[in-house]
Amino acid sequence: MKPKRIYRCDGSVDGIFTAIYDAYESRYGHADIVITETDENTNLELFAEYIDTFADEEKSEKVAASIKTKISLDAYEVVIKSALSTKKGRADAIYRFLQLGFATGRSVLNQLSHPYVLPVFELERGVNNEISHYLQFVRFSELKNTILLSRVRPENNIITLIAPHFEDRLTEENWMIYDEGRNLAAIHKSRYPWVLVDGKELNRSSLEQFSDLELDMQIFWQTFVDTIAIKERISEKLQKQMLPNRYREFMREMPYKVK
Amino acid sequence: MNQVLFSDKTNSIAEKLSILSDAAKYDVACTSSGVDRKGVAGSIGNTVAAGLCHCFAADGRCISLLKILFSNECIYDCKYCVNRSSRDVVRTSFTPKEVADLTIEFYRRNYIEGLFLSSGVVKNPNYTMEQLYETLRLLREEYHFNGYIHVKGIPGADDLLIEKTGYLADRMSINLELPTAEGLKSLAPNKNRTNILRPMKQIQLGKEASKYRLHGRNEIVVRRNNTQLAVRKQEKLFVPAGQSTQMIIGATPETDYQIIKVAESLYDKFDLKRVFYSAFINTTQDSSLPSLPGGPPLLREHRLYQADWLLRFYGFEADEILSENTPNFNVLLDPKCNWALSHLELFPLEVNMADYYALLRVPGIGVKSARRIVAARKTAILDYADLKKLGVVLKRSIYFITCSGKMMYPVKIEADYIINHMLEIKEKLPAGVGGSGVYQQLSLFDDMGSKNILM
Ligand code: SF4
Repeated sequence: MKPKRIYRCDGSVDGIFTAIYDAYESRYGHADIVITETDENTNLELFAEYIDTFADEEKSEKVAASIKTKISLDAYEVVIKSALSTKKGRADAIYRFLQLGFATGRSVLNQLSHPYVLPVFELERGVNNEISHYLQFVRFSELKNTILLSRVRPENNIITLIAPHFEDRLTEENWMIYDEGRNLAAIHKSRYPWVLVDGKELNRSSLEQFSDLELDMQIFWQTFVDTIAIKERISEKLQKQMLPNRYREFMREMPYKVK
Repeated sequence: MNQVLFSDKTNSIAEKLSILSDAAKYDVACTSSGVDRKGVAGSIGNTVAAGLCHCFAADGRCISLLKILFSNECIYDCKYCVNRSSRDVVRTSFTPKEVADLTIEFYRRNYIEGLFLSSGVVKNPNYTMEQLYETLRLLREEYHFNGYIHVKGIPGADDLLIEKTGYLADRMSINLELPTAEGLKSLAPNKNRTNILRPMKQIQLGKEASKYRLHGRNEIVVRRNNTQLAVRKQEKLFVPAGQSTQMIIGATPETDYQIIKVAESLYDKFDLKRVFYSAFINTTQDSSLPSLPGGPPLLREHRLYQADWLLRFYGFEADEILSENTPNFNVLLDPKCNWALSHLELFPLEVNMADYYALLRVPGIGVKSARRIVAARKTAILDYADLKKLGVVLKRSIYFITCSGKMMYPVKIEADYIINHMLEIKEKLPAGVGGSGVYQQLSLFDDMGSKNILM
């Protein structure tokens, strides 16, 4: 029997796409290949052959281009969002989806209940969910230098997926969305396209001084949020369902429990 | 921007804000839905058709807009209203600039989608409407605010003022207040039905025909019959997100049937985007108002929203949901389930064949799952496991459907039998309405999707 081959990748979009590229190139046979993210190899399989892959932009680009032309742009979006999820097994789910997708073309997205399709939809749904919550609950504070700063700690790697919304909305403003957990920032300079920046390049101390108006605004907002509730209808339970604790860390108007 | 504006007046602004948001909170509409508008260089803001909630208040309601009154002064004395003239409360008003500054500063921080501006009637309807207009003008023309604005039309104000304001707003609403003319007469003696319906009609006509376009600052000219692109681009849109209204439920003795008939005709005849229902809260303790020892009628309000959904998205008519003979909702069953149980002769439906609208009428199948079924069955014959994956709530739907001719379990299609089983499955009611379980907040239904309602 042919030993199972396990391609390991770093779990980034480029990493996953590179592993998929290598898996295809090997012609080893999809049925005998599994792709994993390196962080999940806790118990090594005895009879499997491990191959480490290294994110390669060129290979990644090729895979991206094939998805866009041979399947569809919609499929590409689903794949990218799945890849930016933090769920384990996403690399292999994408690999399976692409196998079917390259064989069937754009109609693959209609096969909602197919075992190669459902998993990526579920990954995408999880990411979409978080994106929509972040569009709602992201808060900006104004710094001394008038930059609007938002600190976030999303579960999935989504700041690149929420930045376009704010670029369109706050086009005249200078703003930054900073992912505390990943030390990544999406930075937008008035009227320029936003860019993704490594947190190491940021001057942390300048991010801590609020403008004079900022505190007033926080007080006004807090006042508003408190008075707008109808006391005859108070329901902490409902409030928790609609706005779970995990989104509250940087919402100063909401009580937040530190985990 | 506006750096010095608030600093020496922090206290007075905070105080006004707390008085004027407190007085505005009984208006239930807070959605920012209905228009998709991209950002524009040189301006601030965009709008998202689905609407966004930016926070949830302690009552679990969505906070989407800065919902405030321009003023809580009022010359009228509506008996149910916290701002009625005979009440002894602190009165205050914003200036247009204060409202505009707050809106912009909140918006930049992603606190809100925009502004929902209403007001008590200060001096007279025209004066009040002018203040609202001036606030919107400042925001749109001087601050280049491109986010969402919902403004109240003040009944009795000049047509021209309403018209001008409509060109600056995304949504305009005039509250019906009470479902019937008699109700209005008994509790809002200074208002009359005609005064409310007239501007509603005006907004509808203005929107439909777009007969006018704003020319310069104050005059309105009849639009020339010119369809060139460049000309159309310059034209401003009149209340692009349409109009909505609100009725207070439980202050006057109307039946549920009367209320949904009114809602239906508002949708049909006035082309309203939304009708909101507000469970009556007795804030004024006026002797002509019912006292509500059990608190506001939240379950009734919930049932009305469910029925409203059936009217707007499920192809139901009011007369199918209730009738003269059964004028009130079933306390135990949601209106869709109730309907299905009295129409058992139409079931079971074959899921692989039934058309979209028939699927929509099956308990346990919602708009999303019906759409997914229609898409998925193009490439496969669906079985129960597939339905589950597509989001169908099987425990509610099994009495009403077959897959490839087979029912999931051998069940009797018999009203009593099904009712007993349906009641065992707890209906997912909103927290606070007396049930437990997940709940999609009411005012959010068309904003956030409809996971649990009416399945
Ligand atoms: S006109 Fe409006 S604000 Fe004035 S008392 Fe009546 S409901 Fe209240």
